[in-house]
Amino acid sequence: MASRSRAILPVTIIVLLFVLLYVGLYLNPRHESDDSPMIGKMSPEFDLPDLVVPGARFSRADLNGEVSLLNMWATWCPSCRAEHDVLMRLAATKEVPIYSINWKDREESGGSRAAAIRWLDVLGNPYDKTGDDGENIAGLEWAVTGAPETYLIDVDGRICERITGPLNDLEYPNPENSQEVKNNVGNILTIIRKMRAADGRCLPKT
Amino acid sequence: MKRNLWNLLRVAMATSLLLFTVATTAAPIDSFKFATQAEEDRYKLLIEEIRCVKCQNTNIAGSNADLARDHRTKVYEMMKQGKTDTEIREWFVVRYGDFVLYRPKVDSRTWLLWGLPLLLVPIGGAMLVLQLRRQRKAATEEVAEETNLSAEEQKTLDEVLK
Repeated sequence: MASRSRAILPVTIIVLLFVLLYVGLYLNPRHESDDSPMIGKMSPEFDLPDLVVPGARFSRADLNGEVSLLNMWATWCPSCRAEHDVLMRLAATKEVPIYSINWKDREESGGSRAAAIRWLDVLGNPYDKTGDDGENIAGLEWAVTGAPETYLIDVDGRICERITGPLNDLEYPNPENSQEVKNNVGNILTIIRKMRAADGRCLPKT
Repeated sequence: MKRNLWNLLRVAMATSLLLFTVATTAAPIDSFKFATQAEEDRYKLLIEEIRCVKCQNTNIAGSNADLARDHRTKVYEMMKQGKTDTEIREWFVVRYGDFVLYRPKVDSRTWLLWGLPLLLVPIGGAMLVLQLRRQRKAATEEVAEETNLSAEEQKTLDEVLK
């Protein structure tokens, strides 16, 4: 009888542990890291040489006044190549200005400035403006963790969304795949239209 | 046959251990110059506790990723600018979140994480002490019982010892 009452404590602990682990199975461990602290903040200051127009600059001030997208890309990034076609189709709709930062496109990363210029020449240029951030100066301010990455910016220059990985323009993104849904151009355009229908600011987080 | 297998296993284990050692010591080398050893130690500690955001399961000290190198350079530059360790960590946290630190700050969301061991160690210690005491008590009683001889046993013992 005494041994039975002594067994209650360990059994309780094990059951609690089991419940904890079971709950843990259904938590998304990457959730926290996807919720970048940059979201909801004003775009960081940056001032980069324009990749395409000699002598011109692309800076923080260019992002003011309208809802826009800012895309981080590099020629050494294979998924950026796949995304480029999507961006070309998005640009053709003229629904939203797309800016870009050509990120770390230098020899030590497996790219180059010349390759970046050639990329836009050959594949087409979907961007309204592109900054050359070969030295990862703006990239560190934007907390870029990899390419491609896309930011949705509101009229005030505030960061509404941070989209990691390539955008897609699938007609029916797999609802089970949260990244495919989030990175879907159709869904992003829906958000942009809602923003514009209101005051052009980031939508309140649900 | 069994012995051969055993030897094979031993060689395999030794080799993998050796490979592992080599792999873990092959950390990237940067050519930063430090004025004092203390500065260099400070730098090493900082890059040990900042996560590589590209590779996620290693720190920037142990990563060859391009971005990790940029982050090591940033740490070095901030040290040169006279920034404190707290300021340097904060630079990373505002950009990448608490996730970027291997030693998260103590705040309203992390106190349980930090505090629980402090709570559990005394509880575990108390349980251990209680258990040991109980065992010792039981053992002493047993010995006492065994050494209590009956009159007949005592008589036999006296005979033998004569």
